[in-house]
Amino acid sequence: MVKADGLQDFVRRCNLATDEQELFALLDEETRLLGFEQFAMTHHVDLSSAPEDSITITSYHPAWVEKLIERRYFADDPILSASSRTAVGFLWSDVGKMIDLTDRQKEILEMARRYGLAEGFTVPVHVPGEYQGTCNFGARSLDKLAPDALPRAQLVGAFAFEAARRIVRARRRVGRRGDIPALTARQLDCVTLVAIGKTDWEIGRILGISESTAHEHIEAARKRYGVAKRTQLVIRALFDGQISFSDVLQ
Amino acid sequence: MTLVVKSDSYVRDQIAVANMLRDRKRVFVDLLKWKLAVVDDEYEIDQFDHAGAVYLICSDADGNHRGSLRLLPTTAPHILGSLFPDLCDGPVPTGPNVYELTRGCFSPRISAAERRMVRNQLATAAVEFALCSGIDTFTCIASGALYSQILALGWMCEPLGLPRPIDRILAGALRIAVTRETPRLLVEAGTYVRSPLEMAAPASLAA
Repeated sequence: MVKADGLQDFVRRCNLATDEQELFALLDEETRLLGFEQFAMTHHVDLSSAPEDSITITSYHPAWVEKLIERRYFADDPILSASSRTAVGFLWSDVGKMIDLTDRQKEILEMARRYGLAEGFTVPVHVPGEYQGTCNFGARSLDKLAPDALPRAQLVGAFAFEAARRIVRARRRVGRRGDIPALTARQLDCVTLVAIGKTDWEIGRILGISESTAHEHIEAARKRYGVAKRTQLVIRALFDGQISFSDVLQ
Repeated sequence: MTLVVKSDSYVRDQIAVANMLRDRKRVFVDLLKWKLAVVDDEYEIDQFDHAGAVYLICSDADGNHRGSLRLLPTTAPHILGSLFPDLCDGPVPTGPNVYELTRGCFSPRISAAERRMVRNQLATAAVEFALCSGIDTFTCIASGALYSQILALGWMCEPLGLPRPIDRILAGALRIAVTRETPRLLVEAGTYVRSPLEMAAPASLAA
């Protein structure tokens, strides 16, 4: 019996998804297969002015999403608050055991219930150095949950969030310009040394190559990026993650 | 610098290995309270630290351990195959091209930002090592937040089974594909961090 079989298909389709609409459709379908009715995959950011690198994909009732934003419920949302206390998924019915609910938080839970979010399961997605995130699955009741729905939801949340991160990254790259030019390992070494202020001669000495070879590597990298100056090359390579700030600042 | 240590280079790299085993004891036994054997009150060494194990060890300029990763050949006893085969729905992936990533360990002395850097260096080194050793698949077991962090490195992962509680923490097994495209995926995820990789001679790697 292969329990994660359907999930592997979901993961493959996530990996192929190229925009939020596709991911929405995949998550919507998977949410129903798990036995839930609505989902929300979101970064914990100010939803009234969400940063462009943040993720929010949800099938929650639009009127509820509007209330979440308008009344700034997201800032006090007990589910999000509980999610920062744990690395693994939890049932909403356990939130009261995880945090002390304020009156406002009880009010939020009661309001959510009216929009079909009476019960649910939340998968925290904590990636160091990024906004905290969650993938939430809600329903009017848990009566229709599929077998193994909770561990499956854990994986669905983790892989869907990763797919969303990839889509956001790709869009940011396209927004700036085309694909990242492929630089050779040697070109990357040279660009890193340019970034810390080395001359062609010094780079040649450090890498054990001639000054003119070093010069050619840098010029080739500059042309691949289609930029006129070395400074532009360094900045683009840094922003694309081809070379890292730590390489340059150490 | 990231060292690749195989059993034939233990002697040459014994300080790096000893520093790693000390930090493994501090992290897994002292901090995380895993029930593991400790040798000489100082080193965490288990039955999988055998002659086939390969270590990627990231050290600072003074030789202090910053982080490390153990790669186990799946043709020999390894953790997923020997201890937790239930984490795989199907057969545990094994073969000469399949290595298991285990004992990812960071020095408790480095900051959170440095840990991210070392994590990226180790993942990059693992991919480079795989590409020049004919390895096309990594398996690993990840629990808690580590699962998402492994996905977030940007390489292609798929679940080998549903997560289950191990010592009351939900853990799942993953398969990571390594191809010529993988370095590019890491670059795109911003996790490709090359550090000088010092390896044994290619001849002995192939042996």
